Amino acid sequence: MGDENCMKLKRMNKHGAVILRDLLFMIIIFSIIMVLAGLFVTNMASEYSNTEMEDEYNAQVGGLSSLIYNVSSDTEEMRDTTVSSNESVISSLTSSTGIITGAGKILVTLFKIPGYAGSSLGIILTALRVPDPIPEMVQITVNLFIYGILIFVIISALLKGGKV
Amino acid sequence: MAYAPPAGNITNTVGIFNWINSVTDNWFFPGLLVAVFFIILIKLQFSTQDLGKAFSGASFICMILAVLLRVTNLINTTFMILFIVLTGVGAIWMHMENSKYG
Repeated sequence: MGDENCMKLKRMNKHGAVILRDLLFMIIIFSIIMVLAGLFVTNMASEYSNTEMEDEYNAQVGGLSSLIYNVSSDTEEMRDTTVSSNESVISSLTSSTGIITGAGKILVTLFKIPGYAGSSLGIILTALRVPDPIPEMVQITVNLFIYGILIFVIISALLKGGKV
Repeated sequence: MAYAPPAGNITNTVGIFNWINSVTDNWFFPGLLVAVFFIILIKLQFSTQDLGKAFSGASFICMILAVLLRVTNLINTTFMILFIVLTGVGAIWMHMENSKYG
């Protein structure tokens, strides 16, 4: 048992054991659980007419619903961009400028996606009543860290080195 | 030590729970939830021999219980969010154990 643990620790401490793929998986899993739990909570609150919870979660400041609001508004924007609006990618295949606008909107939304991890952390800290500047600082730090890693990995992949 | 009697007739189970919570300064159900968490954690740890799985299972069950208790106003929002965050941490832990280091 002791040997097994020792071997496990050695494997974990190996240089470059946690690569960018693992970090992204962690962020995706955590964000999915936060979003699903937020949907669960808001749905339960509305089903059971708990007005106190509804007020908390509809406040858009702190609480999990602001994260859901951000995700859903961005998703709606992306849906409008791709499918339904006049400037959508599908309807503007024949025009020359609309497709560029639509593709640009999709790219902007894709670049904003890593920011959800930082914003979800900031929202959780706000909901846990951590004093005011700290959640924002944590959010900015995590977002800078993630974008920094992404940029570094893209550059190092271009220079034929893939691992963080 | 004497405790305050219920304000009126208690007509349902939630009324009894609310009274229990009020005489314990809103600590009864948070304490109960933590106790349930550790009981499930220890039981699952014995049956699975895997702390990551046991942690995520226990925190998931307690997250559902916490949401139900929050809907009935028996615990506060901070406690519910704590268990939601623990579920996320447990899922990441289980993913790491399953993917590479297990």
